[in-house]
Amino acid sequence: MGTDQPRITTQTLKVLAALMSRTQDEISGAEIARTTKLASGTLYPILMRLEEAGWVESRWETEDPHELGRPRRRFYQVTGVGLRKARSAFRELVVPLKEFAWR
Amino acid sequence: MALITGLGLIAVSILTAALSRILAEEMGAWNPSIIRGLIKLAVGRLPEGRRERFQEEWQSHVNEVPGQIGKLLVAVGFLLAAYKLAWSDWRNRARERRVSFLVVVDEALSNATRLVNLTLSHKDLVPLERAEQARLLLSELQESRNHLYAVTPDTRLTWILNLLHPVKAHRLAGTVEQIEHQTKRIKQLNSRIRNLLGELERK
Repeated sequence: MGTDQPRITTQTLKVLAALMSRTQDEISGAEIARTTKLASGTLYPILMRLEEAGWVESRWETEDPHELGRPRRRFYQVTGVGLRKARSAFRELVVPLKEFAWR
Repeated sequence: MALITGLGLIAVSILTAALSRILAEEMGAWNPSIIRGLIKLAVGRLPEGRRERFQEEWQSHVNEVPGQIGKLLVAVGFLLAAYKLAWSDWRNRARERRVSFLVVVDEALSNATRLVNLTLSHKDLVPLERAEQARLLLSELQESRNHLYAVTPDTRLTWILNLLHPVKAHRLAGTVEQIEHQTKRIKQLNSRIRNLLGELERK
């Protein structure tokens, strides 16, 4: 787990929102790309940053790739720390937006 | 005239349709190899410890994307992702090296300062060439320290600079090598300084 906090950008928030919408189950990189509409060139560096910071964890699907007849998918899931940090990041974002809306 | 133009247009349309079909078939046939090649190229840009994982993960990602053009675009994206990941890895390594480098430089600088002070306060004991050598070593160290700050970037990238990832990753690889080279040089300088200090202190 890295000590650096990941930079919170709009894209990072999109990825976190996609992961938080499925906290009970895991989600593959391709599914996250579909949900967030992020390009693969943007998505994977974000996922790696979140994983290094301990906000997200990942694991291979357990089935044997020979039986599946295709490469294994890697599943991502938000961690407890990630969930707390992401919620606070969203709260910080919502407050300025509300203030902006009243102007 | 209108009839000739009309016939010409029909011929062009038929030709275009036939060509598009051939192109589509060709693309369908070549696309899997192009995508495999792009993934291989992207994975080759990654730091070694991440290659195996992304080789499989990205291949499986591409399989989930519908349509040949979609797959191709995703594979091109992997190339950019690989450069970004490589850049961030090099940057982290450069920062780690910088910390250890500064420890070495600070120790050498403190020894060099002691050496210079000793040569200044014992002019009768220390030959002029030794004093000059000490000053030279000190100024070399200070130069190295300044150089380090110039070669290790700390700035975040804007989206325009993101396009320069391949160049930056390449340059940072050079930076890490430079820092490693400088660290070795300074360790050698420090050992020369310590020898001189020992020699002077004995006097």
